[in-house]
Amino acid sequence: MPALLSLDGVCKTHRRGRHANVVLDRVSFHVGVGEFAAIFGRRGAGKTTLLRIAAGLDAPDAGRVTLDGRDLLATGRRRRLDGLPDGIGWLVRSGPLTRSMPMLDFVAMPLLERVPHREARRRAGAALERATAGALVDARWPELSDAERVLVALARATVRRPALLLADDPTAGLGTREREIVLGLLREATDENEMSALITVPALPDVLRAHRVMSLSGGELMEPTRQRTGDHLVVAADRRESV
Amino acid sequence: MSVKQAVLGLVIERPGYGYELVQRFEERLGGWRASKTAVYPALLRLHASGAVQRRADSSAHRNVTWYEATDQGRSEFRAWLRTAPELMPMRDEMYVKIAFATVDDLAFLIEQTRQQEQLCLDRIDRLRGASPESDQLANPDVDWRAIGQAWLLRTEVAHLATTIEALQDARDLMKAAICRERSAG
Repeated sequence: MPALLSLDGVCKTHRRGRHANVVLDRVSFHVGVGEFAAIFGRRGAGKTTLLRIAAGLDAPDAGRVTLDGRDLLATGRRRRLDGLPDGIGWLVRSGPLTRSMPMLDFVAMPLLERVPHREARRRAGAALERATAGALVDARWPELSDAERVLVALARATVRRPALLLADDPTAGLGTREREIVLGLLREATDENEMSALITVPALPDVLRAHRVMSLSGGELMEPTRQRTGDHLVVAADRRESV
Repeated sequence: MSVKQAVLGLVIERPGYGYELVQRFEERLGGWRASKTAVYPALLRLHASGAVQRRADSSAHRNVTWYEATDQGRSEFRAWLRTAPELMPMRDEMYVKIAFATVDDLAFLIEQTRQQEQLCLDRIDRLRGASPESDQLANPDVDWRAIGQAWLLRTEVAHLATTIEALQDARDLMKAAICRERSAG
């Protein structure tokens, strides 16, 4: 599976006064083309920090992040109004500021930067259909259930057909059935090779649909043995010596 | 609780021979860390107690011994199924090690928590994808066996998740203890 997203030796420390908290310590992994990967970790484990760095929204203190072989933070890389580089979609679970906005227009918004209104609405309709939320085109955000909001958010995050979808705890607050639907949709989208996905989750039973599960704690990322590369093993050995 | 009841359950579902039962044991109860080699001794014990009977089968040029449940076996299994089970004790080796470790041991134990976490992740890696489709489970015609199987898988993963969290928690605490020790020294 060729790598789409690669993180290599990524470090990040949060500083507050004299206090330093190492959130990511030489984290290396990749997400393959068409792969659905999940990162499991407790609250405060650094999952969101890792995801923001993977999205190119924050810079690491050290290390390299590449999307499709190109440095994510390279100057001159084209960015959207929402700060995301081309090729990346970010699932955001908040609604429009205008509460009366129909969901079709809400989903179409990220396209308006570059696509005419009529075409943006057509693509938004298709994205809602793909997210099994075709019936919600005329609905307003306050009318939606939590599960419906996630489906709309998924449509909005994928409306530009990104190569990589990132989602920070996309199933929070959903019931078992709704979680299965959302994760099933992500798996389906990646299996059909339309995109790759990297999500974070606080509970493992939710990630049975993922192709790969990694864990994050104390700045260390661990992944299943079959995924580890020689580099990872070297990093792990370094870390052992320094405890 | 022993492997005996699980093997009896398999034989009641349908008769089988040794190797086939070992395979079915793994397929149906893969998450259970009981040894596969425990299936044969369990069959012998069940036979000795009269819960299963042997039937030699030399058809298809194969000489295998089939095991099938007796009426006694079926009624014993029903009785066991309806008896309240005991709560599983926490008897993981790691708990005992952490409980009795001194600060000098912590660096070794930190590494052991990483190895254990790796084993959990590898186990999850093998379980992934074995879960029935959610649509399938929502189907009113789906039989209880498929639902039970899905529950077993979820429970196993939940258990692994709890173990990973406990290991990460222990690692954080041990790292902090080492730091305290170093700054005090």
